[in-house]
Amino acid sequence: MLDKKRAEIIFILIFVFFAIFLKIGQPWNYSIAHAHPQFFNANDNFFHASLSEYVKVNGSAAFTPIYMVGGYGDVVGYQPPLLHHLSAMVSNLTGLQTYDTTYIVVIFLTCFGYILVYFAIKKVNETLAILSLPFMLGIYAFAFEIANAFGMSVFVIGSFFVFAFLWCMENFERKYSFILLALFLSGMAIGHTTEMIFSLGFLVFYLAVRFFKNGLDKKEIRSVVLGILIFAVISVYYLIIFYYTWMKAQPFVFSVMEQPAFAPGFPVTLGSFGVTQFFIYIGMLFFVFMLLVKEDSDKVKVKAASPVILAGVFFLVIGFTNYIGFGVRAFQTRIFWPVYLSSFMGLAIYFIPARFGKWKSRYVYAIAGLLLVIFFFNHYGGLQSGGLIDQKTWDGFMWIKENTPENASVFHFYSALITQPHSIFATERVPYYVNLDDYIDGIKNQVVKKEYKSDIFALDDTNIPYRNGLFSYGYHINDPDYKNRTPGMWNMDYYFLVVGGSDPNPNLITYNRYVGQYLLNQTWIEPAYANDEVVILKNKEPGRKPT
Amino acid sequence: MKKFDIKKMTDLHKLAISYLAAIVIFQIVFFMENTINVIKTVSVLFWVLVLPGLGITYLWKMGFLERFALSVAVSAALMGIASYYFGLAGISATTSSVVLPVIFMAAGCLIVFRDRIIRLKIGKKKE
Repeated sequence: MLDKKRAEIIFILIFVFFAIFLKIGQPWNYSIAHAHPQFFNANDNFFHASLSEYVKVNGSAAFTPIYMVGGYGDVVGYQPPLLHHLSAMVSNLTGLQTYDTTYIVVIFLTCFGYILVYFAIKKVNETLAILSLPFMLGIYAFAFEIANAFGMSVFVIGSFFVFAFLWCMENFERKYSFILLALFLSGMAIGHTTEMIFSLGFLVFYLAVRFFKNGLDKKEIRSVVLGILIFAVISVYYLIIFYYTWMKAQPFVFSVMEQPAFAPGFPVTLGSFGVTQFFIYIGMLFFVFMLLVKEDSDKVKVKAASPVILAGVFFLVIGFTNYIGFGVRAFQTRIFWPVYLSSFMGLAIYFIPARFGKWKSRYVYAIAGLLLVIFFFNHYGGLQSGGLIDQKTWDGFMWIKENTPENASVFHFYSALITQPHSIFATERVPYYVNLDDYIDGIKNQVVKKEYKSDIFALDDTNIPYRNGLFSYGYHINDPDYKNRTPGMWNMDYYFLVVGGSDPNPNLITYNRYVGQYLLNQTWIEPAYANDEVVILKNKEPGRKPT
Repeated sequence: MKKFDIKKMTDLHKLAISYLAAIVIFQIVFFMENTINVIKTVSVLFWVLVLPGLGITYLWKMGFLERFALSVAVSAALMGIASYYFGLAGISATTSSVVLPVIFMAAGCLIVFRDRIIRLKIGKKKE
């Protein structure tokens, strides 16, 4: 018979195996290295891979890549840089592409985030922890998987540090715990700052609960203060950037958001938990019961006011703050409700037998194992490989990257990827693209126009910030010439046309062929690269127009 | 024949077993991938995301599995933050990927062997 220690090791190994298999093995077709990005379903997937590549090649995230911000070379690196550095380092050592390592790092960390929450619950009660772990894998609903499928990688990294922070809070009585507090808060600050703000909120909430319940001892207060001081020193440089970019451009305003802007139609709700939502309700009922009747809490050996359990309540509430102005951040938090609320779901199974009898270890593992298998098969086949980009289009992007001058202007005609323009950052050239309304107008009138209006794609979410001094920032979005920076179609050096493959709008692809032929009819334009799907044309005389 | 006793294993043994277990798990999950790539990936994940933080976790007493999970979080924070600041100082992520784990592991060794180091110092003073 297995002893408890070995049973725990095997149980955790199986959990980790299932998590890796389902969340990365399946969507990656069971291979690690890919010739083009896999499971990239939205803008952000491409964006974080491109930033990781930039850090790998340029060595740091001090500045935002010039091609991401419309050609400005002085834009401060305002994106939380932690993931991009980790991904760049792993890519450098493995030789894998950054579009692969970004996702590998995210999944590797997430798995151990789950395990840290498990150990945090174990500090409260071992049986409860074992029963809670399978719920972290949770029931399958695409809304729960959206963070990975749509590339919210830095949010996942921030959440991973929240999980580690919860472990830290659960073990805060230990000597030197302020070191971990400082490290994990800094990880959040530089990983995804929203989670730092929420975690500081939780810290205040938890300390307030402790204060009103038993009072706080001096040692604990000293540890918290010391931890926060060290965290402030470590993170201050990035936090200044954060203040002058994100907080200035997107200040908090009271508003109601009913659907997540990043994926309308896929909000996580309590209903997304399916039948397991009833475990949450029952667990919360027992939680309230334990708060009210101390005798029961003692009998089942669960401290209701433990950080990891209180975190469930806190992050449940945070998940609903989309109704007061936290918008997408609230919706993002909901994605990890299966982790935050796992202790309640475990409690739903644990409470009654513990209150009126005693749990036997073999039954605990039998139930937890059964749940794990059920959740595994519930997920199996849920996430499929593929994504927005195929090999041929990727090859075209890479041709641009490797064969054109760094300052070359590349004009992209219609393709499905234009709706996810971060994908074009992979070319490492400023993305100019055809104005879609003007282009569709050409199709409607069944003519190839002499010139199409052009647009430029630049990240303006923080107003394209540049630094005059440590506390002095300017914003290129206020530059007088900001809106007139597209050189015009005939001034471009290269033209990128998708002329084949599967596209949701095949008529537009057919139209691309006519436009491509029209361009080739000009004597100063010649083919530069072609494959089955993509044609790239070179303009030998930029500025020259057909008469 | 002597019976294998899990309780007599040192953390170094356990670390080696975790490394092998990670290779086995990765190879099963990524069964389409060649073994060299799997070993390389797991080795680098250990180098960047496990080993740098492992030493620091010896400031606290805990089981190996918990220590391992904690070291992943500590490593991610240390490596990510340090690489960012190294980058700002002009040291590239490529250099950081090699140098930083060595620095953090050396610091970790000082923590792991701090009792021995202190004893050694006291012994020398007495001499």
